[in-house]
Amino acid sequence: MFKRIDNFVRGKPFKITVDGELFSAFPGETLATILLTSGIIATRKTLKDQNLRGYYCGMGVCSECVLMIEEGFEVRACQTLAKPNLKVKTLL
Amino acid sequence: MKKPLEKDFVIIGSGPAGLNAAIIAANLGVQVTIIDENPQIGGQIFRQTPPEIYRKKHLDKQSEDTFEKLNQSIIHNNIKIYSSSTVWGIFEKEESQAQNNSEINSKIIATDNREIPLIEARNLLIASGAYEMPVIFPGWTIPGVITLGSMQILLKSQGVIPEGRIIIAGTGPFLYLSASQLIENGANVIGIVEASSMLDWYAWGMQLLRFPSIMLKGIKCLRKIKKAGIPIYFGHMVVDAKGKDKIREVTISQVDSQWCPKRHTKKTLQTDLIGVNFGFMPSSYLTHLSGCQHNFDLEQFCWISQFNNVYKTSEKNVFVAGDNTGIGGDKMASIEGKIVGIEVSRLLGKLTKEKANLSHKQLLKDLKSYNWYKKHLNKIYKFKSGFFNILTEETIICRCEEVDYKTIKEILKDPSTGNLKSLKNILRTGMGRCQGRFCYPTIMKILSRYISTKELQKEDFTVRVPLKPLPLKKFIEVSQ
Repeated sequence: MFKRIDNFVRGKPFKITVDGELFSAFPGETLATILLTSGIIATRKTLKDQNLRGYYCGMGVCSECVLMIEEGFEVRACQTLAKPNLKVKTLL
Repeated sequence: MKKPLEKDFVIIGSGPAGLNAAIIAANLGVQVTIIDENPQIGGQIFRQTPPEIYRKKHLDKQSEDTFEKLNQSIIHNNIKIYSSSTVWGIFEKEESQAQNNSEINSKIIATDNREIPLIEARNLLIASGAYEMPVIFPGWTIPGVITLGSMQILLKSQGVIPEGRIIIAGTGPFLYLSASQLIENGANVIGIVEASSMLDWYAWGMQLLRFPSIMLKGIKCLRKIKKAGIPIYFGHMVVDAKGKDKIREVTISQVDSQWCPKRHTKKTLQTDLIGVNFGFMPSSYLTHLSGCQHNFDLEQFCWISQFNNVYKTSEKNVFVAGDNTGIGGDKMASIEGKIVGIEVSRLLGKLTKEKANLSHKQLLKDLKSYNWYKKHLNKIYKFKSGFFNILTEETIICRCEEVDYKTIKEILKDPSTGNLKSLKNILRTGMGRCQGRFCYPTIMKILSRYISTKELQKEDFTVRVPLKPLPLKKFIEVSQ
């Protein structure tokens, strides 16, 4: 769905966990980038109609890309930088 | 409650307006504090890669050179930058806390950065920019229907491009700039769906002769698009999008000059991703939160803070600059930022009234040459009422609370509930995570069909803290 391009030089890759599964990430990447380059765009289900939603505005305005980081925090995936060993949950 | 850090000049937003205000004031001896929600400064137009990701080749040399100059000047002893810091509240300073009259007007700013949970701003510049104007269609909430800006952000700041078949839809120059950047970096754009006709488009192009640099940039983009063989569907709009788990296909239709779909002109395109842009909308959330008075703009269907000739709002010591004063682009934003930087320096006694007046006169003169461009942009992005013929009864208007067109119409057409506040009370529109950022423009358009223009202009909304979703833990941190 999305891919990293070679015009950009990246550091040493690391792993994060999304819903218990390991995902590859590079330093400086947002959680949105990691999910989108792994083929995941839908990250939550709506309460009423159970419709799928995900990354939309990319700049922290719509909050459609919210994820749960383990401490019980909801974060916007597009505004949050990934750190090694971070564990996140989608709201699916 | 924690004691706020006292600051002379606080700037929210580090785009061209915020940065230029900071630099000019810092050079005059003012201590400046910049707060920005993104990891890097630059705002949306100068979106940077984080330090860990290095870009080998230019994406847009002109814009990158402009930013580089700002980036060098911003490293200044008088400037302190707090990035990755989201402002979630702006409060009045309690009178009991204030020692004299002048201090009563300070604003207390709450952020989610542990270093600066609370800041007292003696002077505040809100340069919060703009976000994408939501012009919606049935299926706009399906995963994979995203804003074009979000595609560009991924490219500029993360070095990521979409894979698969991409459709770009909307109207205006941003479509072509983004399309050419995406193509150049290997994305497979299969079509550009442009709401305006080819004739409109030539007319704008001719008018742009007054701005040769912008015109030249446009021609360059168009050449790339043409060379790549990408069809531009002039006078077309997306009227439907389908797919459950993700977008699969879109239906486009020819539209008239008022965006009304023409019969028997529908065409279905298979797609993996669609990027939409109908221009940008000033962000008025921080100015609303600060208690500033707003005007409702009938062309763009959004609220814009009132401001005077030095960009001071109705609130003492609160200023605005950049795209949140109306969409004018980075050059206008830079000049507006400088005007505020000068004015705040004068208020803080770093500059005589005469010197400030002289600088303002020159800056306002510079600004004038761009006013025409601003008007031109507003004309391109003006809302057209044929849009209502694209919506179906089931089209979701409020993404967060999942409210459809039919339900909203029923409430709004009843005179006793035909206003924003009643709608919010009954249907919760504006109470979800986005606080109405993506539904109010559409709701106001619908409301405009039932009430008079005069009544419509009186409509306003209340912003509540926290401005952006915030864990309770952060509240506790501040109040301890």
